[in-house]
Amino acid sequence: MDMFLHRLDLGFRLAAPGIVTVALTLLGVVPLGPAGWGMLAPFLPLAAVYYWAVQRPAVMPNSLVFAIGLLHDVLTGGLLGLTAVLLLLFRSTVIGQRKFLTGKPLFVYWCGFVMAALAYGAVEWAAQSLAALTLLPGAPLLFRTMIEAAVFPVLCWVFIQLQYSLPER
Amino acid sequence: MRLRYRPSVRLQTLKTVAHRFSFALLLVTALALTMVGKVDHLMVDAVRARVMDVAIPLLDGLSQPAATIAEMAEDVRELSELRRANEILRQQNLILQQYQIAARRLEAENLSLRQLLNYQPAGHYRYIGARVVADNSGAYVRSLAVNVGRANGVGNGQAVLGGAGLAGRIVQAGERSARILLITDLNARIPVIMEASRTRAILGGDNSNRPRLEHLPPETAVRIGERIVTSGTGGLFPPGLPVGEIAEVTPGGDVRVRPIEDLSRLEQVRIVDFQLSREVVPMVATPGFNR
Repeated sequence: MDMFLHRLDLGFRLAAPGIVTVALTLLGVVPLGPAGWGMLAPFLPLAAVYYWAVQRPAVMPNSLVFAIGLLHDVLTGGLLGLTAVLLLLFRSTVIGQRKFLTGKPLFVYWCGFVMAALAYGAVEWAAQSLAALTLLPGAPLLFRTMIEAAVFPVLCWVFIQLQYSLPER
Repeated sequence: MRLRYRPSVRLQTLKTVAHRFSFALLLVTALALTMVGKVDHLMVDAVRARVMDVAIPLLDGLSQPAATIAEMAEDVRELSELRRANEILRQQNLILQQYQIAARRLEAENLSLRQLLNYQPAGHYRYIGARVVADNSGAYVRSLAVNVGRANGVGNGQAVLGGAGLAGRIVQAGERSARILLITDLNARIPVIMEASRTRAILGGDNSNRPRLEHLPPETAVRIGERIVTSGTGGLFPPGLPVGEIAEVTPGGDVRVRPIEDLSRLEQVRIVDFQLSREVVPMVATPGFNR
């Protein structure tokens, strides 16, 4: 019985980053902010994917990233699968920079996120423009990325708390 | 020592291969999904609707406290303006009472003229009230989700009204959820007519706050401030729903329309069940209309 509870506890701890990321995805579409918020609402799961790709890639595997991308596409009514593609590429790119980013001070870590988020925004803009066969305005994505960068430290704090509760690898 | 070491190495490589493979597989799946989404809208929409049905109760719960807080803030603000608002309302009421008298007179006249012409009335629409539970607008999508669906009589293509006029239409109706495509969305095309000049056009969204009038006949005289209403062409929307007014003509020749509805502040909407009236013409008395 003790063993069972222990494993249950362990399972929850390992699943927590994923659950939080799914919650962030849902939170992203709730009309929380002021009028017109929807267009600028930050894509919160991006910060989660970035954080876990650097710190503990195992708790945020490709399959979970794929699922989160799909969920976001379904909820927003965007082109189905596009966010999944972008998030998978985003994760693998960040993992490529893992060696450089681990152990760096928070500021460097944050700068890394801003650059990665900007790149993500640029690719998303290109993909959306291609899908719509017109040149879409880039400003909304730029604003969105700025807000994402601003909330990153707050989310980072949440992720650090989660990471403390994770078992040693 | 070496013997024991080997299987673990093999396991590790196997894991790495599986990992790499999963990445490629997922990437290809996601890309394939985008293609399917582009080609087969109906199937993808059905899947979306299923997922939304599951997510809507969650979103409903999450949006409840946010709405409460927003309401409280609004209440406090309104309290401070109560006296002034009351004065304005009193004046408006006087004007509206005069309008009501005029409307009654016109109604009676209209009715008698219809009887003269043996005119078949267009019927009455059923309204379904709904609460906006998710603002799923992204950088490139303008849409909302509401907490009613097919179970409540909501179907694809139905017009969605805010307090003042047309806000959008239902594009994906689930069992207990539905997605609204706002008139400002890139994919929104609505047949409209200019109220005074009776010029027909298409209102096309482009993700900006001011959709554009397209397919205007050449050399149309455009008057700033002229009201735009639905024309009813295509049978999707009932005719005469207020949509907005002409806001400006850009130097490039684009005619921009300011939506009558503040689309960024929609909390409650009404969905018009227009299809119903095509089959039967129920004789439902509307308030103020004495048959």
